[in-house]
Amino acid sequence: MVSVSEVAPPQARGHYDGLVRADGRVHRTLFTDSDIFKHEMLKIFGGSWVFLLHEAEIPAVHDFKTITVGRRPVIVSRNEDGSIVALLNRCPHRGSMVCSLERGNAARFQCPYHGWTFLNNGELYGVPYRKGYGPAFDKRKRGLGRFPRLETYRGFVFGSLNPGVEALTEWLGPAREIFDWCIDQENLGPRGVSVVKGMTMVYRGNWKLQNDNNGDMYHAPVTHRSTAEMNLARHGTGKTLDHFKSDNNPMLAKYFGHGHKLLDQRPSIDSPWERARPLPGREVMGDAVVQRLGEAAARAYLDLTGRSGINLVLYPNLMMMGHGTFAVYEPLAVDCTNVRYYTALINDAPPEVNTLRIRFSEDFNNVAARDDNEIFERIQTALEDVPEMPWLDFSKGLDTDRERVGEDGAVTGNISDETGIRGSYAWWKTLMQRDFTPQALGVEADEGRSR
Amino acid sequence: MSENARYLNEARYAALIEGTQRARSRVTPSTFPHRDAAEAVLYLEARLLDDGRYEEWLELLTGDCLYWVPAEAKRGDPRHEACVNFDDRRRLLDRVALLRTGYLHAQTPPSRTSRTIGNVETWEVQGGALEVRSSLTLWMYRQGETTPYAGAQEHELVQVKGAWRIRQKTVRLLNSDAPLGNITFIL
Repeated sequence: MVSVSEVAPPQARGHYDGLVRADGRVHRTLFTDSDIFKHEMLKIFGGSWVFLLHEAEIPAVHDFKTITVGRRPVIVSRNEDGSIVALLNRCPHRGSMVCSLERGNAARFQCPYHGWTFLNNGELYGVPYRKGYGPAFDKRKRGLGRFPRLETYRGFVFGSLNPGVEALTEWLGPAREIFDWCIDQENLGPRGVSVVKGMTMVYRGNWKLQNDNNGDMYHAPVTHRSTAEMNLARHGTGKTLDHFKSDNNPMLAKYFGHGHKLLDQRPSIDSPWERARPLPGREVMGDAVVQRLGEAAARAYLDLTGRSGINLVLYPNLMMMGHGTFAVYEPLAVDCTNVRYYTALINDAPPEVNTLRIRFSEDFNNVAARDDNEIFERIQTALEDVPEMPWLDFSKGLDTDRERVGEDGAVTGNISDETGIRGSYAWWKTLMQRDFTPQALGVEADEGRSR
Repeated sequence: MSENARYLNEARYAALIEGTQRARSRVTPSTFPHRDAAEAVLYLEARLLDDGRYEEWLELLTGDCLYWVPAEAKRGDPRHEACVNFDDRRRLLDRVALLRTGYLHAQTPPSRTSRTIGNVETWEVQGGALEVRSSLTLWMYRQGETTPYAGAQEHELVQVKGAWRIRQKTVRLLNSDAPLGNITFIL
């Protein structure tokens, strides 16, 4: 086993203690130092459970989708027996990426360089001119590296390159109750959900900026003032962002452990359908659903086309929005991040409901998320270029009487407090200092450095 | 122009999808009906958008207009796929109102754009409407960086009180299904 000091960049173990402080200060190098970023790709995206995809994205046998996990190109494939595997998209022979398509259906993958062929469970299937290899050639160690851990939780597929990672339910901890709530929202009817790809955005900034932001309600009235003012001027009171006007309200910020955090706005959102901004087609489609199902049944569905009031961040890379839309953070470089949105459609719902869910999923991205991205880019620039001010301050809520620890260990703060973000950074430090080496099955083990 | 919110119904979605399929499957050359009128509208639109004259641009659009920027490269059914933009007139007015609040950070300072429209082809379609297909090359400058955007445009033009107006505008970006940066301006 290679020790972390060998795979770690120059920073010695323990170094991170000084960069993430108990008083809520976080050092700017967490956002700007490319060595720390490389270490994160090993220790966080290679060491934690990481969200891969929703199983409805690859519904049929042999369906696959390619993604990245901490920059590693990965194929997630559904095998003949229906099981799902995650494979490193890297030929064991001379290193080419084997698959270059975003999605598809294939029982086997063939490397485009020398033609080595792999089953979609990762095993080596065929090698051209096999006689050129001697007796030491071990087929079992010449596969596409398979993730040692993969678990599906109610349709959401998580994987880890850390064989010793905690059980998925232990990792979810008390966040599981909210995760279940989100899934229950749309788990209507026996036919489950399908998942459609939504918008994908890229910003020039570190991945943690988006992760922090989804656990931050403090920014909403200021960053999204344009949205709030436009809504008020155009559509009157009661629409998106109108529910957060003061610090004194029943909404909560929560930290669950393992990096997971929540903004719970449900106490202030009585009716998602009434509060939704006027989506294209809202009136005719709403009426059609009411006419078909009657007022009460229709309302239950229509309430699924508006803001549910949940932002749940499952660390490090999944954000559940509680109304069927979820976002995946994809780090590309220390200063570059993709955010990929997806929306779950309810297979048994009236088609108008699903169209409205899609229109709703576009809405926040269209009107408000652009401002977030702009702020992330401004932060990134200033953090890179102002070494004289090394600290970011996440102390809001600390040393006040606003935070309390529940029986389940979760910490609850006021909705505008940085409670959840602080928790995520404490967990970041734990992960970065955890002693293990990421590894894949079915390949030759690393004798030296991991990256 | 008034805000009738009820025109985006099942029939309109169906017509949109059908029009899209028709426009994309054409193989015969255009005979250029109303070419001058179509070019005049497209060039005026380009100029108004480049100059940030959004209110005047809105006047070029009909009361039942749609503005569609697909996020998928191949398919084309907004009932079943999320889009970069899919706006009826109401959401377009929201978008312009947002730009005018003075608090839209993503447009502080605003994007400067310069667009060139080319390869303009026209076809007469049912009901006296005009289908216009063109190529768009757009340069966007903001905060020291210039970003290129390119793609195909489909416009449906109709005559309203003797003037050609835009009833439907689709912009298919080359990189529509890739991660996109700050498109807070109108394409």
